[in-house]
Amino acid sequence: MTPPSGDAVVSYENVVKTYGSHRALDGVSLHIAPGEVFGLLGPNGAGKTSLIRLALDIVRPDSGVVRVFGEIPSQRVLDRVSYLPEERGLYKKQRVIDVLVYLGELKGLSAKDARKRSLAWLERIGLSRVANDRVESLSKGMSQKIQIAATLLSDPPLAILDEPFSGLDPMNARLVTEVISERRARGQTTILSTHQMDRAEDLCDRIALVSHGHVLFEGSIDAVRTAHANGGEASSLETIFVDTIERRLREDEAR
Amino acid sequence: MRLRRVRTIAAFEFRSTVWRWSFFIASFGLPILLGTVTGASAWMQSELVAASAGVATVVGVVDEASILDPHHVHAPLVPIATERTALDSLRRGRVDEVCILGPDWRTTGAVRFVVRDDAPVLTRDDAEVVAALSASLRESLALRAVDEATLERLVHPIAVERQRLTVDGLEAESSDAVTDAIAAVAVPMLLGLLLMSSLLMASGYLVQTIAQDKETKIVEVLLSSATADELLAGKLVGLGAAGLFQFGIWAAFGSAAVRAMLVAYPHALAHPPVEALAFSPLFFLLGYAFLGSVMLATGAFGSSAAESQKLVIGWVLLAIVPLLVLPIMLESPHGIVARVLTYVPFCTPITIVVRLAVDGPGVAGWEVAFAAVDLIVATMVSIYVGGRLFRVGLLLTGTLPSLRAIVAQARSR
Repeated sequence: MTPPSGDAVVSYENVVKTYGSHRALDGVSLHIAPGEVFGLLGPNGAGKTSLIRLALDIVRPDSGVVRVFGEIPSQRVLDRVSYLPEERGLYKKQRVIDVLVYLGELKGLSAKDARKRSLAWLERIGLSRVANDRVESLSKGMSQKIQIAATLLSDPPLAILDEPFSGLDPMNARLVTEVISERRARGQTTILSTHQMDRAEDLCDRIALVSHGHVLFEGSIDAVRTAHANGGEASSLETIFVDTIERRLREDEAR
Repeated sequence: MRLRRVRTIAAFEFRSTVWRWSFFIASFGLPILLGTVTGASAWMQSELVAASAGVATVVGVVDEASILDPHHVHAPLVPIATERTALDSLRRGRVDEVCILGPDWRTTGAVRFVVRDDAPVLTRDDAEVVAALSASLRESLALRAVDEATLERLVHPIAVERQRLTVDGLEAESSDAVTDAIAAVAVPMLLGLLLMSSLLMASGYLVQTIAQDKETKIVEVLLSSATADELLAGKLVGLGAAGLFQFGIWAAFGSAAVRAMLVAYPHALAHPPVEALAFSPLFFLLGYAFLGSVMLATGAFGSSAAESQKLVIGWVLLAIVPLLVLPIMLESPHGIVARVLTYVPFCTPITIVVRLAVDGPGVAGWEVAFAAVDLIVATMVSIYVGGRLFRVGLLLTGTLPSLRAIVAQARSR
């Protein structure tokens, strides 16, 4: 069920965003409730990154309103939000511990607290041994885990994770799934942007499918599957995703 | 703007720049290398001079024409009674060379110079011996016609004393004109080069760091934790501190080199450029803040370090204009070229410091103040405009958009 906009951790009200002549978002309204894992789904170029950047105050809407924790995004509010972008990286020449402490301090932690939490996170993800190694010496999977640790270091009430499972082996993917589930158990909100429908199906309380700057549907996994049931048999999220996008493309071509 | 974030970014940028081999090599290796090369070259030259000077340290002179007055025989000449004794002394190594004035010298001027068979050919220089013998002969001849006092004037007709007519009246001028001339050119040039190298090096670190942020894709994480203005300010402060640190190291090396030079040539810096030295750190900071913010805003549009470097090359060329017109400024430090460049923000730091080094007292106080204010205003404008462009540039990927699109994005956010 869609939460009332006043209770939402993140809310978009009729948001329009254009870049030059390209309309990335066209009157999007969306509400993300406290404590839920919300799946932001959609093909490449659908407008997911624009929605995330609007919530992070990296860009601002042409019209409409975006609220985070009930306020127009500001740096004060954003100290409670962490972001793991899809295209990500770390300072290659720096030591792992130094990068973690720096990113923790940027989220408002003291240097001492940031170090303590960094060491605890490295322990949690099984990478204590590389704390003093340079980032460039890490494997892709290790680097991926370090970035997830950096994102969640400040224990943010809202975490936005863009494709957090890419590059992870099944063991580490399970670790990330556990971490996200623990956040939900603690009442913390997570926005998950992913192409991996099985992960979204397993983890998300609610999802929204975005395409061509519009929200095509929004709701709980069960509600979406019921609404798109094929002859009384519930389809998988992946089938719903593909069918919906293809139908939308056909409609656009017909216009 | 949150100062704590700015401080965190500045501290991180400072640490990560200073703890690099490239910084260590540029800060310490470069001056040590320059010092070693210059020192070795100077040492080799002095050794060569000493070696060639040592070829004829004692020269026996045989005066068969009876011309030379024993009191007017100049070193390295030593009178020897006969040619036979002189050649014997040469053979035994008591003298290094022998010159013989024959009995008919008065009519022919002929003098024979004799050296041992093993005497060097390439480094032999008879000029000093010839000069000493010529002076000895002239004085000995003249002494037969005039008294000692007249002879002294004949030999040294002019004792130069230079003075300058200043507002305080007549003041003695350094008698070492050559050293003064060298100092007048070298000091402003070195100061200008030092300032320009430091400015460009520090600004280069900025371009490097912003390209690195984009290349490593960490930029969106940073922008979700700090505003573009905080990032710009933090990087400016952190890398400015690194640049100032490097400037200090180079200045310390320079100061040590000058002290060493003053031991060898005590009068080389008769007029130290006090004003230029006093204002150098201030104009380094102001120049860096301006040039750095412009370079950050421009460099942010590059998708790689190489592309960012290409985008800022125009600013670098503008910044080195004062060194390109240095001869004009040395000749006329208060001329139209120097005055105009003083107020062009890209050229202000180097121009004003060079002018102060050439003729510090000649630069009015208001000119220095106006140059500083001009630079501060330009920096404020550049940070305001640059901050907006910086954010657009940071988020930019792929090909560079048109200028109109950049301006539109900077306005709309």
